[in-house]
Amino acid sequence: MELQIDTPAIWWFVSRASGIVAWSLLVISVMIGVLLATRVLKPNDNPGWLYHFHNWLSGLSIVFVITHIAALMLDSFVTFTILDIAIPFHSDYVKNPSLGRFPIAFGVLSLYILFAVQLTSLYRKKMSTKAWKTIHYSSYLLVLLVSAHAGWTGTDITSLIYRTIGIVLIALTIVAVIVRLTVTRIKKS
Amino acid sequence: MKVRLKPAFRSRLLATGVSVVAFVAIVSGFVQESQDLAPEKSVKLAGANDPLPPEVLVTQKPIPTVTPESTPIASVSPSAASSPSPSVSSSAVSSPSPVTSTSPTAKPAKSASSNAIAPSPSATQKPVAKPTVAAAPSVNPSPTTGSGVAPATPATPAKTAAPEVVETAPEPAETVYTCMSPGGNMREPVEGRCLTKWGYVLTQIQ
Repeated sequence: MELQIDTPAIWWFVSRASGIVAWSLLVISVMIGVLLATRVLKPNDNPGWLYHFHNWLSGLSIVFVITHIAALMLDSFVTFTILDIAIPFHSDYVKNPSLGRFPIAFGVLSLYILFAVQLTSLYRKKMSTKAWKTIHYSSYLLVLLVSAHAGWTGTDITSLIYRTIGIVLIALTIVAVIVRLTVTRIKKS
Repeated sequence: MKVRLKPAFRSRLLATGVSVVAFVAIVSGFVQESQDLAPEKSVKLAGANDPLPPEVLVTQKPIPTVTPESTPIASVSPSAASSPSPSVSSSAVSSPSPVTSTSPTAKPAKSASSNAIAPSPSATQKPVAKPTVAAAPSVNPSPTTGSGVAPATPATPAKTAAPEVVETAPEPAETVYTCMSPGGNMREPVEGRCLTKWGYVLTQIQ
């Protein structure tokens, strides 16, 4: 059976797929960042490799996030304007009435945090380590918001594969946070 | 010449490749899923909203029996006075092919029922209309209310024919499909298909 790529919903499919890939990349990037910061795999790790791979995955996730947003704007079924994407709670797209506009707003906030973390990492040498770290810690909040955005906005919530991927990603995030917190506490003590 | 890639570059390349492949695979999955759902459901819908086939309309049957044997103009004329457009009725009676009386029956259901007040013209006009539901009430007046029509010899076949319309016509109209999302939201099908975007699936609601 041939795939018809010219289906009218193709941009919607691209948006959903890029969102899932970007979410996965972000979680893996956070995990590698935790491995780099805690050095729990020492002496079997390679900090240089971890650092560059962490940066690469973050950059790749930005590419997919931009694809996610661009496809949303190109899609004709649900219109997302620039304002909808730039201003939290501006979009009137509501998937679940009980949650209102929060899921989309979480996505918009995640976008800002992601760009803030990336830009501060690019210009790390031009700013204080404390300021950079403070902003970089918000990547945990970023993953949390992205998970909420994906879980509550996602059209594919009913899909078993999507649920499995989501649960695995959230579990990995929780493990990463726990490792980060416990190792830091041990080091301090 | 063997190209040796640095481990860092190799891992980056691998990560990029895996991401792109995953992305393409997911998009393909969505496209495949939408193609799997849409066609079979649209076939069901195609039958639901189509107009009834002409042979279902019983009003086609009395016409050949009425027009050739007895010219029911004499019996029709009193009722024709009550009809708004006598010219239509005369032309319709003279020609067995009822296509001439299209103007009042352009809107199938409503116009057919309105013409049914005047017994005889409605009997000739109905075949043109492709009414689905209104066909039944429009037939009944001719044998029952129009007592002047009754003397016409072929009135009896019309009587027997009328119940057939009542029995056959409503059946297809009962089947109603709509696009329903997993959350219970409903949306009208577009060109016989449900957009699978929000997980809408064609569902029979009646």
